[in-house]
Amino acid sequence: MVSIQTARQLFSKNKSYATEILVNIRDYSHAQKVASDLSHLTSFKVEPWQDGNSQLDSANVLRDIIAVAVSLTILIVAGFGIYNIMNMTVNEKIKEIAILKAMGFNGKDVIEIFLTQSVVIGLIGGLTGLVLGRIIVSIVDNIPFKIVTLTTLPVEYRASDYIIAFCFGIIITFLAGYLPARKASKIDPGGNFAWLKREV
Amino acid sequence: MTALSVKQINKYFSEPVNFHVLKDISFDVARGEFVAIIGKSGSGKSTLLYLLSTMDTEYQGDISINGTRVTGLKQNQLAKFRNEHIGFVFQFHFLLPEFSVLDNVMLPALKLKKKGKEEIEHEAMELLSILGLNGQEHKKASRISGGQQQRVAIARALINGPAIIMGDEPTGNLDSKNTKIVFDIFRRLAKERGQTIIAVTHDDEFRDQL
Ligand SMILES: Nc1ncnc2c1ncn2[C@@H]1O[C@H](COP(=O)(O)OP(=O)(O)O)[C@@H](O)[C@H]1O
Ligand SMILES: [Mg+2]
Repeated sequence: MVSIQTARQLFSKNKSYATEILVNIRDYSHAQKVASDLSHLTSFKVEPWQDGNSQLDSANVLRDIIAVAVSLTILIVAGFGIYNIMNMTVNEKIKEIAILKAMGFNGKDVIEIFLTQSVVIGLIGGLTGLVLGRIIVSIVDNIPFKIVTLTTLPVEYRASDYIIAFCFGIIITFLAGYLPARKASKIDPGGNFAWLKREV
Repeated sequence: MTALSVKQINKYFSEPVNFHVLKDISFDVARGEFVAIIGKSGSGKSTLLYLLSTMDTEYQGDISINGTRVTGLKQNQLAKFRNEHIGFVFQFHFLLPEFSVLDNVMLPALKLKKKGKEEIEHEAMELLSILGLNGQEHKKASRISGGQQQRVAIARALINGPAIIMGDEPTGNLDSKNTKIVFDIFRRLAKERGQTIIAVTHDDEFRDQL
C-alpha cells in the first residue's frame, strides 16, 4: 500500500487523477451511518450519497408515501365493500337472526356467526390477493424499461411485504365485519319490533 | 307446583297509535296442564304469548316460569332460559329455509350442548318420525309443504324436552288429520312427561278436541 501522492507519481499523473473512492453498500438507506463510521477511520472527507443528491432523496421519500397512501386507500375501499356486504346480509337475515334468538341463541353467538363469515371473506380475499399480486408483479418485472443499468421495471421481492399486506387485510375485514355483526346481535326476537309475529 | 305464574300484566303499543293491548292479566298454570287460550283474531293472543315466552320484555307486571322470575332478566339470560325451558311453535312455522329439516330440529339442542351430536340426531329423527315426517329429514326446510313445515317446527320445539311448550296457533296450517296428531302428541307430553302446554288458538275445533 502506498499513499495517493506516491501512486500518482508512479503513474506520472497529476492531482486530478483518482480524486474519490465510491463505496457501494448493501442497503442504500444505511449510507448516512456508514459514512459517519468511515469518517472516523480516515482523514478524507466522507459523504453519504444523500448529501449530494437531496432531490433524489426527497423523491424517494415521496414515492414511499404515495405507495403507502394508495395501498391504504385500496384497503379502506375494500373494507367498506365488506362492510356493505355484511350489512346487507344482516338486513336480509333479520328474520333468521330473530328465529335463532327465539331458539335461545344469544348476542355473542350471532356476532360469532357474522364475524366468521367476514373473516372467511377476508381470508379468501387475502390469499387470492397474494397469489394474484405475485403473478402480476412477475409480469411487471418483465416489462422492458431501459434506463441506465435497468432493462426491465425494477421489482423488489420481500416476503415481509406480503405478510404485512395479508395481516392488514385480515384486520380490516375483521373491523368491517364486526360493526354489522354487533348490529345483528341486537336484533330483538319479540318486543315492539316483533319480527316473528307476522309472516314476512 | 305452578309452571307459569302471571301477575297483573299490562302491555301497550305506542306505534302507530297508543294502544292498550293487554289489560291486567293474571293467571297460574299448573305443571302438566294443557291450557288453550282462545280469542278472536287481533285480541292480543300472540302478544301475550310473546311476553310469556320471554321474547318480548316490554311490559308491566310479573312473569315467573317454573319458579324463576323471568321479568327483569337480561337478554342473554333470557336466551339461555328459553333454550332450556321453553319450546315455542310460532303462528307461521319460521324454520331456517336453507337448512335441512333435520338440522332445523337439531339446532336448539346443539346450542344447549347437554348431549352429543349423535344422540341429538337420533332424538331428532325419532321426533320427526313421531310427527309423520319419515323420509323428509334431509330435504331443505323450504322444500316441504306448509303442514310439514309446521310439524317440523313442533319437533324443533320439543327437542330439548322443555318444561313448557308454547304454541301460537300451532295447528293453524294443518288439516284435521294432522291437527289430531299434534293434539295427541301434546296431550301425551302433558300426561306422560309432565310437560306444560299453552296453546293459543282462534278456532273452535282445537277447543273441541280438548
Ligand atoms: N308490533 C306491534 N305494534 C303495534 N300494534 C301491534 C303490534 N303487534 C300487534 N299489534 C296489535 O295488537 C293487537 C293484537 O295483536 P296480536 O297479538 O297479533 O293478535 P292475535 O294473535 O290475537 O290475532 C292487534 O290489534 C294488532 O294490530
Ligand atoms: Mg296471532
